[in-house]
Amino acid sequence: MSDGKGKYGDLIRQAKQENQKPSEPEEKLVNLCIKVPIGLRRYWAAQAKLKGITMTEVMMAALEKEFGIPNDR
Amino acid sequence: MKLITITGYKGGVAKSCTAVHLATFLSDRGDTLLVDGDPNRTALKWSERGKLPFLVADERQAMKMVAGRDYVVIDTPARPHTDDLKELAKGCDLLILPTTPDVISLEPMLETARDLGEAHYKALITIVPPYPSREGETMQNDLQSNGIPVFKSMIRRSAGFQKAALAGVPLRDLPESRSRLAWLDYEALGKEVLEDLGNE
Ligand SMILES: Nc1ncnc2c1ncn2[C@@H]1O[C@H](COP(=O)(O)OP(=O)(O)OP(=O)(O)O)[C@@H](O)[C@H]1O
Ligand SMILES: [Mg+2]
Repeated sequence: MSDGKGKYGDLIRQAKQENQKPSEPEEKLVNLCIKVPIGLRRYWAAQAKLKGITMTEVMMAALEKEFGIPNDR
Repeated sequence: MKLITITGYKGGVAKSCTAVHLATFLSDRGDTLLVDGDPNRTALKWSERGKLPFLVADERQAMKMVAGRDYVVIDTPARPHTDDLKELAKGCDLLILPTTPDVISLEPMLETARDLGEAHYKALITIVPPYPSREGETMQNDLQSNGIPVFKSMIRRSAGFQKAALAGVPLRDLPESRSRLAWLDYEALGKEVLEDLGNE
């Protein structure tokens, strides 16, 4: 067989890369602070509790929706 | 993620049909993507005519879609490019080589196996004529005696596959139960494939 480049190599690498992701060391987590009126925070915190999700999840989803996530992750 | 390729050096031996039905089986067990690497786009057209229970993409579209899938099934044209076959042999967890049970299919099968070398491959006998024909068993013995690993499950000949392709669905989802019988063969194959992947 030759040593050329076929059309599946990149695809397979892409698939395998994703495979290994969980075993990579965790990226450092940092704070993202925003100031909001205290009444709103109380209301949102209660609603989040009721829905069984965290405010962090909601904010991350909103940010991801607006900006997406970088290609390299 | 498990990568499974359906390939071989012979045309019209149910490679695409096997890709569609194995993907159907796997889609009940995990998130499955079928990559149609055949320029004829047999699988893509199948899915466009109706509805398959998994996503189908060509090898370029698939780049953006493979992430996080449980199973990726790759369909290839007959006689894939040597470089393609080499990459598939190296990167896939399992290669399935469909063959029909006749003498002229034995030689291309042996040739494919030779070129795959150390890769994890297994032959699948397809389009098997019904009893009292013994062609399926004969082919199974021929392959084994040539040192080719072969699936115990064989896929019977059935007019249902043509109907399913036309309707754009897997055989399993055809309305008349008589046409669906051969689905049992792909179910048995699917179970063997899972066992095989588990034993790596
Ligand atoms: N078990 C079966 N019984 C009867 N006909 C079948 C069976 N499996 C596939 N066929 C029919 O055989 C023909 C070839 O099948 P298929 O397209 O899956 O083969 P292939 O190996 O992918 O062909 P190609 O080399 O052109 O890509 C189709 O018309 C299909 O409907
Ligand atoms: Mg095909």
